[in-house]
Amino acid sequence: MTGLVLAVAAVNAVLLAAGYGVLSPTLRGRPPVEWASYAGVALLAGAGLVGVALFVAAVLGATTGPVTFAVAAAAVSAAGLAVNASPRARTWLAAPDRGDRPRDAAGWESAVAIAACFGVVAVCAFAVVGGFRSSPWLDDAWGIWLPKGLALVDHGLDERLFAPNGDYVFFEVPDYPLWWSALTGLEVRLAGGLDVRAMNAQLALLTVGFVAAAARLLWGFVRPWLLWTGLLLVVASPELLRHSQSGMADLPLGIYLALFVLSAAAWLASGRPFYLLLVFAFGATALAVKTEGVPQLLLFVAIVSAVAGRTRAHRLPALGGAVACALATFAPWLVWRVANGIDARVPLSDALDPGYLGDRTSRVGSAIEALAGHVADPTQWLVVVPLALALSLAVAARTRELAWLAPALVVAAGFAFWTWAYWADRDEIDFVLATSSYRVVDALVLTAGLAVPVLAERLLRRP
Amino acid sequence: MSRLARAALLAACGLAVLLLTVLPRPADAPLGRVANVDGDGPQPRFDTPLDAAALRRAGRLVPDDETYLVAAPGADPLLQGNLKAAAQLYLAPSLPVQSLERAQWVLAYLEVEPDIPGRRLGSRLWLFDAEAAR
Repeated sequence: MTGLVLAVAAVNAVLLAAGYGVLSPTLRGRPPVEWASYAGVALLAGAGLVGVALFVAAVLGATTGPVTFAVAAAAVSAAGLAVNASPRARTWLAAPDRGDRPRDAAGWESAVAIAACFGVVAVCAFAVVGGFRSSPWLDDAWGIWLPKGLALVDHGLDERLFAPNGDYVFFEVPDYPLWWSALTGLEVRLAGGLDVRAMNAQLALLTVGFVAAAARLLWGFVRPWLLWTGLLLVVASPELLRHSQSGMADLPLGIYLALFVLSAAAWLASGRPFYLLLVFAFGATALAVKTEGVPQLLLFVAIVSAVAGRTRAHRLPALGGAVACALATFAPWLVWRVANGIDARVPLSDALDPGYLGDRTSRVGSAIEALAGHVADPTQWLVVVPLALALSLAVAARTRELAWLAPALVVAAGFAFWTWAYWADRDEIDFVLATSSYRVVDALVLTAGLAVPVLAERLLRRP
Repeated sequence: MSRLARAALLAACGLAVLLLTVLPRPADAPLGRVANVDGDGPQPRFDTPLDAAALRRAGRLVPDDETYLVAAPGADPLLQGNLKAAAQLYLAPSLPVQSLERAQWVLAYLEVEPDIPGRRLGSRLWLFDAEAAR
């Protein structure tokens, strides 16, 4: 256990430092307390971009051991510090000041905020303790993700193991990106003795980082009692804690996609370039976690741009630029895949072929039923998604502003995407739904969860 | 809210959190799921009974720069898949191969005693020199 704790703590200390390096131009001149309040954002940005750098290094021929990790972390930090050297860049990227939240909170509002905050902190503490003390329950974690990670540390992106061939036993799902494998493989190697609990420990820290980042990014724009009760609604969902002990990559994907959507929406709403930096960091990471990160990211940003960009069209090119930069970090992996003959599990030509889809329409109903069951089941995700949908419609109706439909449309689009994905998938439908539908919804739920306090705040404000 | 009220609320919340961690409750109750953090060991949660200690021994015995074949004759697909993944974890960085001809070692799951010389690692797990197995 000691080796596990030391290894994970050391890696995350480096990730946190790298994240603060990235954020340094945005926080220069701010008091220490404010720097500390960005710890969640820094951890996720650092873990994301250092992991992406590790992934790219592997594609370029490096192994992903401690030396490459240190170089990647240093490079990410150095990039941020280089930008920090420019006064113009610092001004441009400066983190937002406190928003115009109500100055006088009623006594009951303070009480609710304190109690809810305590609840959030308690669950996060349980999550961290549970993460370090639990072995991943999802067999994909130790059966696919971690073996790939260990191979990346030992051999790098060796075609004998990562590309189909007739001589060596190659890894399943060769089309999947390697961010999660690279990060967890490194930590398990550093912990020594093949301690797979390192996967859950890292997952728990990312989850806590997500909560902290959400609180920081929404602070000042949502009254505290709404913010903390909204976050409590998410963290108290039984599925979140269960997923944080699974070792799965779906939860990190959901975390980064949700924060990507939040950052994109915040850029369009505020015009602060600080959020473009987060769009890039979170978007690049989401692309590097799982293959489905690409279509979901593009779908979500298209929706947010379409509804919110009607009155913010002048901010769309910059958003597109940040997304393009994120996509550029994914390009090396695509090139490697093409060079090594690794196709997607379901060719896009089939997935868009009416004839192919027409022969399997019976899968659609099963997919809808399964996905809806997961997002609407209060014993899984409480009322996160139904509440977000209701609030989105209510705020849009009250304000008559289409932009407030964005949360509902993002959730609906994500739902439609997964329905289509299961429709086109080649595996037996009951099997694939039973083994995956409960976790592919993480991005939808977490995005909805971040929207709830924002929507509630807007609903309670005077029109 | 007064300072006293805020302090009282903070103390009450802290006490509630502390009680959650120390008071016994049914393991399957909702709050029980939040606070109930039974400890696991460092090994993976295999879907079938696999001897992790035996696999570790195999990892120590097979040289890092040599190849191995995983064999589980007659075993169900679940066990075969678990064994393959377990070997990729415990025998790394040794490379797994698909054929006996390319292998220098054979990690086998056998229900019965083998009739070729090999090293017994643990419950039903054996390690053979590939030459002997050919």
